[in-house]
Amino acid sequence: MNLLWLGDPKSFDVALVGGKAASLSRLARMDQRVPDGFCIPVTAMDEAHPLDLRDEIFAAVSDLMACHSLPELVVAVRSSAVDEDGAAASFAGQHETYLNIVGADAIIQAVTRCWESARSERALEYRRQQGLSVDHPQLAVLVQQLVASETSAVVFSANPITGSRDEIMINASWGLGESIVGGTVTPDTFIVRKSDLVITSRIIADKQRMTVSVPGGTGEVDVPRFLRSQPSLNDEQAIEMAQLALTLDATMNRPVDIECAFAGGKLYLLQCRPITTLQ
Amino acid sequence: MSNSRTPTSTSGQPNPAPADFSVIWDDPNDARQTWTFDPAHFSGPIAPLSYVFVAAFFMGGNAGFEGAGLPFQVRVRRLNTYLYTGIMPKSAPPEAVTKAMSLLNRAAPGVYKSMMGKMTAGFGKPLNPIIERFEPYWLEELLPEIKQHIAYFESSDLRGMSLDQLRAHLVETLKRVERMGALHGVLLPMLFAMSQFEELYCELFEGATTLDALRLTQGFNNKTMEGDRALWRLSRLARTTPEAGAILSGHTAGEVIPALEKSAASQQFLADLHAWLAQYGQRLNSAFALGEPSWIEDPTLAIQNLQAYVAMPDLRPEMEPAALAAGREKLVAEARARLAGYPQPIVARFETLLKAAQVAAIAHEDHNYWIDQRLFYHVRRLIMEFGGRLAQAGALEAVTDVFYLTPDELQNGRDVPMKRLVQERKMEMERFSHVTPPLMLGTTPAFELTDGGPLLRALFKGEMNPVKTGNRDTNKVKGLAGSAGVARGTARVIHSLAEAGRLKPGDVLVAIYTEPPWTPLFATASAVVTDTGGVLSHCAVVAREYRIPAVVGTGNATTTFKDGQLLEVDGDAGTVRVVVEEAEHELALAG
Repeated sequence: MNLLWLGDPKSFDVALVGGKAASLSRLARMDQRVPDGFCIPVTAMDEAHPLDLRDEIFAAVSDLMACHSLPELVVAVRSSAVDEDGAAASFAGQHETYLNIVGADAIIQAVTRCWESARSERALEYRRQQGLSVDHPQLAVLVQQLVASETSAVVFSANPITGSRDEIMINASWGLGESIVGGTVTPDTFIVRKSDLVITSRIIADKQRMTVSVPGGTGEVDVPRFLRSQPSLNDEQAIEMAQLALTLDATMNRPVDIECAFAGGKLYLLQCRPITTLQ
Repeated sequence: MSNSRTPTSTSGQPNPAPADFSVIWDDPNDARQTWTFDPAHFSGPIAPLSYVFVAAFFMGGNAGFEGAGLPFQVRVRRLNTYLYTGIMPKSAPPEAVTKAMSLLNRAAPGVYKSMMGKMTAGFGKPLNPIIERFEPYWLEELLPEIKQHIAYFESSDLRGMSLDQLRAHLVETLKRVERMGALHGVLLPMLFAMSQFEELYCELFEGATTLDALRLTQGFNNKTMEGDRALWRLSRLARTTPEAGAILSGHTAGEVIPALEKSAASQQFLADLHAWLAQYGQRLNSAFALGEPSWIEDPTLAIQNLQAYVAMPDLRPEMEPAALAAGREKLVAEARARLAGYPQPIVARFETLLKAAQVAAIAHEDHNYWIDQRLFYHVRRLIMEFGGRLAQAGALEAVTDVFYLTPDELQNGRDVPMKRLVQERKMEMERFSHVTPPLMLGTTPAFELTDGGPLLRALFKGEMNPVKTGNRDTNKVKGLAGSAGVARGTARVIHSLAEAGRLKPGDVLVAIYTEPPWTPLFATASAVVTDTGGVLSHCAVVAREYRIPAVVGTGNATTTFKDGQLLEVDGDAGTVRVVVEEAEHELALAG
């Protein structure tokens, strides 16, 4: 059994690594800014004991720590469903996420929990109801470096409000992206003109809430007063994000909606989807 | 000194002086300003010569206000022998404007608040770069200059100076006192740093209290604790030096040194005691109490403290700084761990403010040691030197009569009818010493700062907090949480250090205010309660180092409680209440 690294074409296979991991892996191939990670393929679930994986995971963790000069590795462990038809993708046991997992032992524990969840009575019952096979619940697990985002953003490579194809819209705020995606914070908005990457509009909001890492996961907290009205991105950072969106838009040949974040001075790409609803 | 003479008129209105305190204003414009008397720093009238030095010190402080972006100036006046201070805008707004502001506050408080917010937005801004580098600012810029001035005074051989040299030294001293007043302005960034840190901590950690936050700044060595611990060590030495210990236990404070001098076995101990006094006794009972002997001149208070310590066998952990520091570092590590996943701008701000607040906590006590204590000790030395010479020459009846003269009169000695002037001024001070000075004179403020912004909030947490009045409950007072914990003890209302000998081990010290010279008492007291001050006052800061409960800013604890009552002090809730009335309590203690 071999771990499959994001960006490695072997992990493009949905049947092996699940839909989530496969699409992220393709993205990682396209752009180096996707945080490093590896997949535990579905085949591992059938093998004798998760501790057989142990050596491989330990090696992978050591590699990543060495590569990024980290004293410890902090990751997210996510289920990656293999049954990828729309409805099936949303059932119990297929969407476990463990955030802020530190170290190889904890990773193995989290992987085990993902598997157990997929085999749980609740999950199996749902599968029966959906007319899916219960013999072999197929689950891959994605282990990816967790970015301690200082500023997260959702970036559209076309203006989703006006439909303008010439504008990139950035919604950015402090901390992890959950608060923006979940709508609990009013983010800063930057509009960047596609043709020359000039910022044509900045609206700095009073950003009151943010999602941060806490022991065992993440949580939403108040933004300290001194930071609420400060821009969550400087111009340079906004342009770098716009550039990222522009590049992906060109590669995919269609407008995209991306999630990205700055951490430790570097820009990371977390997600990329085509925009399906544009005027 | 009671708080009963509080302002009686409405905003912006003249505040008529009481009948026994009618004021003749040198400058008619003064009547339009607000002048306040501070019972925390002044227990009575101030002598003419003392006033000049204190005034120079206050005037020096104005440089600090400017530097902090505060458009205010402090002025002082000696009104009916009492020192009054006024804090006025640098450029006084015309009467029409102050009237309009007052009206606006009543008619449209929301608009008023917004205007005030805009006005105060700049307060303290210039201090931000200072806070970001507070350690080098204090250690490398201010402290060396402060020590230089003290070194100048220490090396001044007053006795060996000719009269001309002494007069020149007087001029130089006044200049340096004013400059030290400016250096004392470190108070502003110091309080600002501690306040900003405390506010950020409470914002970041839900449920955290101010006292929780300030624990991360405690347990550092400072000059106040250094002196108190050295005295404590002296007491441990006395307990193992039989003769010295017996002398301390068996004599009144005034007899101790003569008895030690006669005891052959106590010579080393006596030398150590003198060494302590040389290092920590160059202080007055209160910064401006120039007319009272310093501790090195009259060691009674030091010896009383020492005697109390000798009688205490218990281990006092706060006297061992290492444990306190370890406790603090643990809390710091916990806070850092919790913030590990937070955006970098927040972590950076936390670290900057933590460092600044920790340095500020040390500077809080250390600036007092070097400036409030040492500087004014030397001022007294100078005054007494003049007094000694004039008394010897027959120009004065007594050495201490010199306090009734002015520097000009000291400069032009020959033609001055000193004895007559002294007599007149003594009588005036005697007369007014029986009168209670009103807390406010002139005109009441036309408008209040509803929200002074972060810097004024910080200053109010220190000594400058507005004096509370109006407590009518005779069994309970509510103040500010100054130091955590609950303690019970017999109330001892102490108005000045002269009365400090009344404090017995385990008593609750109730005072108007406690400056660092009071702190040796904190090892004896079970808790401390003050009328004035906030969570960043000397009393609260040092009570936390001693780990005794403290409630500060109560307004009138000294007039509410009586000696002998059993009090319960809750330093977290900020309340003090009578548990048992005095008669019952005395019976219980006796039985």
